[in-house]
Amino acid sequence: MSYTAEISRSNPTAFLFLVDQSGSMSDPMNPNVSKAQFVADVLNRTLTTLITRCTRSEGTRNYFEIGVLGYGGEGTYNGFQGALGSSIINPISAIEASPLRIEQRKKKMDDGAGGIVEQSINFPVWFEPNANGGTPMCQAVTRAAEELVAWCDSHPNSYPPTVLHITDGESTDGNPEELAAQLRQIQTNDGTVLIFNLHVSPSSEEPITFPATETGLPDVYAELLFRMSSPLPEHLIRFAQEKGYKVGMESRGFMFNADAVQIVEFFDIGTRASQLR
Amino acid sequence: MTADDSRLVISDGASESFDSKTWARLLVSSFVQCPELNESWLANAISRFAARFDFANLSWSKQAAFTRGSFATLLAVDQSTGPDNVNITSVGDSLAVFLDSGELLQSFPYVQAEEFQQRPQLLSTNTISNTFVTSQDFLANHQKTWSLQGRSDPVILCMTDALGAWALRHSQNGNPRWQQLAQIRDVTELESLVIQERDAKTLRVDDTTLVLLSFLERQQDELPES
Repeated sequence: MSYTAEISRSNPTAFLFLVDQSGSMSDPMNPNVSKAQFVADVLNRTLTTLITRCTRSEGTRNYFEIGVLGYGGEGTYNGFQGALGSSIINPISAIEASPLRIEQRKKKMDDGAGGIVEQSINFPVWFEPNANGGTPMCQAVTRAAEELVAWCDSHPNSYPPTVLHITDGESTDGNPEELAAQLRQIQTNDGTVLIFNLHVSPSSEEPITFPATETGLPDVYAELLFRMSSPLPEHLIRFAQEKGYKVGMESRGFMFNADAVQIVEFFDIGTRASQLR
Repeated sequence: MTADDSRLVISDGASESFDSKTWARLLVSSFVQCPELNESWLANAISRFAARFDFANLSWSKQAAFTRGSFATLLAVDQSTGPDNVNITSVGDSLAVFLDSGELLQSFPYVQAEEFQQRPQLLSTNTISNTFVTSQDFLANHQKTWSLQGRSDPVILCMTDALGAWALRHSQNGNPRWQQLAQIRDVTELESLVIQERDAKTLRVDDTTLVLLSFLERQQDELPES
């Protein structure tokens, strides 16, 4: 059975985020923030969550290796900077040790007595928002494949890598469908690389979450992203169901016209690999 | 275990915890001393846990992990109220199994292997995660009493979840392994079984604990009724 390998320090898994940073990402997600800023915030928060899951009293355990590729007007580039900038995929302990800065932000929290309190929390930042130029999606998918071929060669027994691709528009450097199909052929002994695609949009059109078929998708672009997306493995189907999504064995890791809440949940579900040892 | 052997407590820490080993040990020592699982008991255990760490001087990630919490099961077998009954307290997916002469009588909290697939409620160092302890039906859902009366060779097995799921699955498949488990007498026998079953991919790789409680000696010590 695929996607059942236990994730451990000797057999970590990998998450690779592909983030569209084209000019249209400067459009507002909501009145207060652009799509680029919102996605950057969710990505930084996801990195914090992954680090927290791996951290014990003695330190951060390398259950995960993580990479971020941004793509836009400057081509495809490492989304990490500084000490993390020399390689695309880094062990999570290195990411923990090297945020660009730690901001203080307010968070509303349950006080455990029926009330809500606002607390100041640490908000580490690794990935900066950017919005510039075209959408070289083919270049980004090609670069992802290069990184993951090497990663899978050196981690043959690991739970396969998961690619989370976030975009708000169409590719401007060709049709990425065949490249995505090739990316999905890369594998470890536990299965093939998973690609989950998230289309972000502030529009009021009805969002589509984890569809099982192209039927009913609004346009050819949504159909393309659907075909580029992997079916959800069984444990992620269960996790998505626990979150209230109607998903079945044929559902793909794909959201179209995702709103703010769904963007957060896409990242949460997509990075919920099986149990850590 | 208490000094008079009337109470056994085990706790299995969850892997995604800041320090589940310390938390599990605290839960065990707290319940051995005072077997009353309620909100104030838990608050006291949480305070004792927090006192072990200098939160302000932890790194940002350790602070986040500490705040997220540490999680563990609690399984207690208590015969302190008298020789005829055994009271079981269980939070989480550590399993107690009641056998008589190697045959399964009951198991608690789960009776089917499939139940291990659900996410169990665990005791947490994060107060917000423990609201289930204050529910009106908490004790009804987390306590059980088994009678030893009329039993010829009563044994209770306490085991952590991987072994519990394995054992219940074999029982459901018509291939019970209860007698085999009840005959284990030292850790090397358990290790041998665990390695064999892990190699066969029938036992999930996880920390595995088995405790065997036999009530036969205590019953033999009692004076027979005339």
